[in-house]
Amino acid sequence: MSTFSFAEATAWQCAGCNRPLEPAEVKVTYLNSVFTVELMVCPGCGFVLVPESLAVGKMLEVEQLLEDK
Amino acid sequence: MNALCRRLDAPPITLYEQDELGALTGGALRPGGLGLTRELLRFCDFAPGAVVLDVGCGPGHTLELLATEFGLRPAGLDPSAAMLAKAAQQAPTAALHQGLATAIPCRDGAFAGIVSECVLSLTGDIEASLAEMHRVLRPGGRLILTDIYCRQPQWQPDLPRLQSCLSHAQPLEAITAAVNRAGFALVLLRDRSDLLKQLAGQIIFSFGSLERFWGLFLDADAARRTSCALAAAPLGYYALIAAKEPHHG
Repeated sequence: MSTFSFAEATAWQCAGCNRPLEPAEVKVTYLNSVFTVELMVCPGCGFVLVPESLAVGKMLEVEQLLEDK
Repeated sequence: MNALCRRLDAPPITLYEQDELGALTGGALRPGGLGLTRELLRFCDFAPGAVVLDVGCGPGHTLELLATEFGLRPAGLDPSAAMLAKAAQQAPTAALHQGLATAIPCRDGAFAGIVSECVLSLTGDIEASLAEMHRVLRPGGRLILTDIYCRQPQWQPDLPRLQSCLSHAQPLEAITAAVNRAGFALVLLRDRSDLLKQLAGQIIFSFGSLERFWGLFLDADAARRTSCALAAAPLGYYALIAAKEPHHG
């Protein structure tokens, strides 16, 4: 159960497949931990778009959590 | 059975009866989920058909695992009627008992194994709970324990309106000493604090922040204070296996 998603409508498309991205749950490996995150994904090849808000926002928050304790 | 929230001005909120936490851990309501349970059960290598009691069985996911993946005969104990109703659906072959870890309603030596995950710190009396687990375990039987522990003996969390395993965490040395005093011999001890961090990280990814997660169960101010208190909490997570020594009856 999730109340938060990084998947939002985007103008980005998959260049290889020329298809619009769709929201999907993906496994993210980060600092030796695996997380399930909802992101925009190419339904053809599985390409994942990592938005800036995730890369410099929540990732940083989680990084501090993982490193401090 | 995992964590209890209690508001002073409202009926108690039982966190482990909420769906949000279970959904993050595959229904298992604790760091590591069933993956850690599998690891520990494989280590114990119980004989097929052995009777294993889950103390604090919650909604019964470990009971189902015991029966379907390990060929064991599961029994479950939980104080919550709501959780036992879920367990009856999740693991129809399990024998279920409503009661407390400090007064297990089963005969001496009834079980070849006991599993108790993220429960011991919530029982209110670790010594009494371990004594009861020792009593109902047969000589040579194995006890699997996982739970929160505290890295600093003097740590007193400021957790408003919240009674949970997080605020009852004890130092690991105190826990292992109590296990030994109860008559168990420690077979395996692993620090699995990585799983606690993993769960906290998953909460951030799934709910946006830890504060938003606590806001599902607490008012806004209490959620903020709880998040702040836990951000600096010196908490870890352990997994241990202990054996009831054969000469104890």
